[in-house]
Amino acid sequence: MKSKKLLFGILLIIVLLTVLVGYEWHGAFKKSKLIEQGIMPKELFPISQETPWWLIPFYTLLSYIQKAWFCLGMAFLIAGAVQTFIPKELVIKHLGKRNPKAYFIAAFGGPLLSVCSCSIIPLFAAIKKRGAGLGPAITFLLATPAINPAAVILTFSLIGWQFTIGRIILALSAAIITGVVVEKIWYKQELDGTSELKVEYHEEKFSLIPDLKEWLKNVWDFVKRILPLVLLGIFIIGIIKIFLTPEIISKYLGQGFWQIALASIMGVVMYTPTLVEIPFVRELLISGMGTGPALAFLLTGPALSLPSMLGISRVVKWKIVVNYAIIMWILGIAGGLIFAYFIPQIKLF
Amino acid sequence: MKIEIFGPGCWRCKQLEENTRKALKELKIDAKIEKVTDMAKIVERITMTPAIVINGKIKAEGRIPDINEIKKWLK
Repeated sequence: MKSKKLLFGILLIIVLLTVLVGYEWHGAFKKSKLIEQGIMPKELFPISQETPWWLIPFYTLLSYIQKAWFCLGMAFLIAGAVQTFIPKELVIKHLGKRNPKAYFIAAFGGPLLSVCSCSIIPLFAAIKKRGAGLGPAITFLLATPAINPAAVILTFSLIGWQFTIGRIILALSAAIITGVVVEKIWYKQELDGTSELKVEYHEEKFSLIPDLKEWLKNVWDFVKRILPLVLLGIFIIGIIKIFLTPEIISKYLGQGFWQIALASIMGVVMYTPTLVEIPFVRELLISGMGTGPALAFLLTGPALSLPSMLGISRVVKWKIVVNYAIIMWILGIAGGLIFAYFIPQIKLF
Repeated sequence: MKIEIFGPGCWRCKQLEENTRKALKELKIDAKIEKVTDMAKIVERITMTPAIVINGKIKAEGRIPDINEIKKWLK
């Protein structure tokens, strides 16, 4: 009966995704037609030179609510569906063995697990200690926040398909490469896997109404937990906008190697709440940030932050933490350079 | 009876603790809930937080069981 539940979940997710993509595509199509006719789409909350400075944060927040409410709602519905219908045991079971395949399972499977940042450290420790070892554990740790379903959906809606595809490919590669390199460097020191990774299996029967109820409950939990942070994050972006002029942004974060390096290290150090990195990058892109630095920030921003590194250093040696942070910084630069080569410019509405 | 709840103190762990407390109250069982919040101790036994351990046996991990489910384990 378990597979029936999984099947229903996958179907539900596909339906939700189709609705979302259809809606977004239709909206983008309508907009580009208007622009072709020479009509600029009207902003309900336009920010111009005349806007009083204290209104900017409020206008920023309102214009994002207006732009992203549908997509954000769908993102929460889908994240809840993933949480409810896709059994975590499926992923974790495959992370129990030491083999090269574990890297791929960690990278692709991580996002299917809960995005709760406080349950990621125990899981990291378990994969390292009782499962696939240090390398895949680090891959898991870095891939999970970078490409969770909600983040992918919001990236698509707010900064376009180029960034979505670039982000997924480069974030997964960066997570796998970092995992492999760290494992190579620290293999001998950190070999402590003895007991086996076992997860208590929870018998899941499929019954439509209770499962749908559970889904909505999970969605509500996500909304309760993440939405206030996202709104606060966007408000703070509005405050930052008062101080950062386009001149400053294009000087320090425009296109170029040093700009990409700076954006990448910003991402490593700064704490960015889930999903907030996307409006943040969007605002900077509009004000003159280059595509390279933007992608570099998207690669390192959600995956790393000082608080998360401090948490991880309770479980592994801090030298390992510094090690993977540096590798991610370098890979962030590489990813930014690659992306800037293919997509040197982007138009945002 | 020994009830342990593992979790670093996020809202999911608090929800689990609350459900357990309610279940204990409904069954009129007087038992203490021991909270394990130290990450180093959590990772020794638990894969996913939050987790509830009753008399040394892991009953649920990585999810928040509802009150009725917890009541079954407490009986």
